[in-house]
Amino acid sequence: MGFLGVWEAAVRVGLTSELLPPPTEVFSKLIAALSNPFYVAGANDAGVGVQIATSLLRVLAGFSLAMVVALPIGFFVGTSPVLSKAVDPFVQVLRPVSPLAWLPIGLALLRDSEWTAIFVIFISALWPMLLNTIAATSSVPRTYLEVARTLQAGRWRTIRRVILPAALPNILTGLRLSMGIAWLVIIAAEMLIGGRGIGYFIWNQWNNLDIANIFVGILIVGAIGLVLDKVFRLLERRWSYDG
Amino acid sequence: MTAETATEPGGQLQLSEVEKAFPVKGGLYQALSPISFTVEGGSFVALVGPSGSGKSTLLRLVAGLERPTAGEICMDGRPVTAPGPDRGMVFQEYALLPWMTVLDNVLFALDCNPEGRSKKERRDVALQYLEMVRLSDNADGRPSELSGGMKQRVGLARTLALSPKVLLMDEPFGALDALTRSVLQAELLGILEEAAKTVLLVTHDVDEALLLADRVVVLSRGPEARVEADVTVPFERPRNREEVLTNPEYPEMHGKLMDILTRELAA
Repeated sequence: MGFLGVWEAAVRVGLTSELLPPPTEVFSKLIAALSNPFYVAGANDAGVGVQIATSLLRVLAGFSLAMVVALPIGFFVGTSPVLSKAVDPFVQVLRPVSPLAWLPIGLALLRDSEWTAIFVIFISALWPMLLNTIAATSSVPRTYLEVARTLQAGRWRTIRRVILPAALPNILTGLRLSMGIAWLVIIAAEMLIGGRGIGYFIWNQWNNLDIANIFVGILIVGAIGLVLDKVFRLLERRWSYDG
Repeated sequence: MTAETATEPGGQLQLSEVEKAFPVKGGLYQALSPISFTVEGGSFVALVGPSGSGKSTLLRLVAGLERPTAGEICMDGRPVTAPGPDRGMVFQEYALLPWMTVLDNVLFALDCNPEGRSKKERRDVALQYLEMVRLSDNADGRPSELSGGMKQRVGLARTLALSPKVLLMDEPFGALDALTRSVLQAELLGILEEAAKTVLLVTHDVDEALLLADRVVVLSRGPEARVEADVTVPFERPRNREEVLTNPEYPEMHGKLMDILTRELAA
């Protein structure tokens, strides 16, 4: 509160850049944005609700595709020490690359900005999921596997009733990290791709020199990121167990 | 053991020239040099030895969790090549699956080996074994809510639910406090009087070996552990702690085994 007071005063007195809006203006614009979130008035003019929905759908699509790829591969690789060793160097090289570096490749291959955004999210979400799934399935305590062996659980039953539940908490951690990165990356990707989405909304406000609305965008992005993280933390807690 | 032994034949374990080596950096670690002994069906053999004597390794070989590098283990004349429901394993750290309820842990064993029983029948069997270890009230709880002694009773129920001929126990009470340990030892004696089984128990506790076993096999310190001594325990069954501890032969037997073990440790 004190900080907001100092900010408000500094803007009023004229100590800051004339572009910087006072917090009261940000607040009133936030109320305005939230009171009519779903209007569509043109290609570059739509409510924040529409922008958010667009971004979330892209994240959901890319994230789901990444799950479809990363979870089975991670599981397969994690339960095979030989494959783990073979795959590790590839993952180690590709993982530190910013997902945005894949954007031109996406554009070249897909020739469609919508699919490119989804592709970039797919790449961003892929690595944490893949690495955590590999780690989770390869580090199932040996005793649990030996219990399954002495009981003659069989391959499928061992996977379903021992390896999966043992690995699930770490897999969910991977999903949470992936979602966090996907939500970071979608903003940047949308700024580059344009069209619609909360990232482009923020970029567009810069073009309009409407800094107050940029703050509105940042607040909304932060709030949604927080909610996404909480959802995954709840899932993690639901499926965790005390050894 | 007792008269029940005759009604439930089988469960004989025969170890012939069993060796086990593990690959290590720069070669092989010969854990066990050729080891041979026979465990008669229905008898209780305790394996003792200094740590690193390979007694747990030997148990894992009998369980079929690992294969010997040479020699052969036979159960009732058939070579052991893999784990089987005829040999139940009780693990040191209980090895309950923490994401399952207590009942589901026992039920899991039966689900893996249904032997034609319906889901309801399997559930009844699981409940019956939980009843036997006095944990019916905890059936729907999680293993994390149980004390160490209770966890190992669940482990025991899970193993016994498959009615194995042979019970393999890897320091099952080693992680428990002395009081809980003696309670579980007494319970085990009671259970074995009801249903005779061959038992191979790994322990570092000479008192436990003398209380429970018909025979104590002492392994020497590794590498290349071998059978250092094979001692028959003469106490009558049914046994209880007081009678065993006050048996005139007890101090001598205890001293003899301790002597062998101390010598092995010093060697």
